[in-house]
Amino acid sequence: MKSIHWALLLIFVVCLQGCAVRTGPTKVKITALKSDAGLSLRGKSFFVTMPADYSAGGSIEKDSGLQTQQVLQKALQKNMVEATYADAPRDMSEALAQSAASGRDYMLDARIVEWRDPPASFQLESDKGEVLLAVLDAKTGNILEQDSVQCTGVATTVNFVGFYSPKDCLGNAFGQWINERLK
Amino acid sequence: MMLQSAAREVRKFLLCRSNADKAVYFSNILILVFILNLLCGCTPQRTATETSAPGHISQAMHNGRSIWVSVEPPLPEAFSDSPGAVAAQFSKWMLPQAGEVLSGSGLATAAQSLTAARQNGSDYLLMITLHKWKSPGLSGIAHEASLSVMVMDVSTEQIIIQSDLNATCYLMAVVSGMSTRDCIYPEVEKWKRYAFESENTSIKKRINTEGN
Repeated sequence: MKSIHWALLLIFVVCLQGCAVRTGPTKVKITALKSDAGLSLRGKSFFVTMPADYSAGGSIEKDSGLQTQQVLQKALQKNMVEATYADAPRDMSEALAQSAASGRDYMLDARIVEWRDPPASFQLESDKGEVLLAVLDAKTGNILEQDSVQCTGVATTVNFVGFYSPKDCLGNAFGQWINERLK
Repeated sequence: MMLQSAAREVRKFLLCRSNADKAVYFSNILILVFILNLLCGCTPQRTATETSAPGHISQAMHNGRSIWVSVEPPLPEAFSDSPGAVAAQFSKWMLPQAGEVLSGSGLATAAQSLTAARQNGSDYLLMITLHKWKSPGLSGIAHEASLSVMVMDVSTEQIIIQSDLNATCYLMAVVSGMSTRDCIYPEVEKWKRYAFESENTSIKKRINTEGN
């Protein structure tokens, strides 16, 4: 009887750990594609675009664009960065016009490059997200900075079977990017 | 050896009489399939590839310069990737040879790309035309990628590189994280050896002669 109690307690602890720590080990990689040492983005405000949903291999990752913008918004708010957010994905000329109208200093354009959300598989493949972040001058449309922000992550024990997506590791990645570029 | 073992299990399964025995052998086969899948997942996934010649390279790109990458219309049939994502992926692949790389967010004609490249102060314009971009599905069992790469010197407007890259990758594992981009990536890496300047100019000269 006592051993059953211990077993139940162990299961409860594992469940609790899984719920509390939704994200397992996460790796973040930021690759600078264009950087301007003379450009200071500290204290600046942004108009943040909404990326289009990621599509590859004949399928579209529904709401991946919205989720990416939401994760980016959370990271920017956490770091006290003032921003206005686009309500839908737009083409570049429309986004630039909206950005100019918003009165923000720069446009922050996000584009999903990769969104791998595999089901729990025999090979224990990690989830992977990659977003291209570009800081643009809304008046000229010139790209001032461009970085590839990439993350891989695995779920915790309880979230192992599907309750995990690239957005869960992108939060850390955006946080790191903000620390490196906007502070 | 694994296949022999699998065949032996199937033979036993067919010969055994009772349902209980059949259940045991059926579960053994399932375990074997599971192990085979695991092993296949660990083996290289590119089992057959086709490599094209680097094409015509009249002048290699200088290292450390700025490149603008864009995808030109039209898109191939059944293309399900995003042109902006493909351009972004190629941008990353141009590192570390390129000093900086920028890419367009969607499809752009040569004239539009040249304007954007100039506006952003890029030295080279790299235009990609996708001829084939297929993932495994009902129409096939392989990733197939076929594309043309054209590099223009922005200041002179001269085309300095024109190449075709092709790759076909058959998947070994049932569950695989490979994409069409992963399939073409090694060909891009090979192409970069000729497209960017390096100390080994003799190889480039030879390739140019073959390309012409």
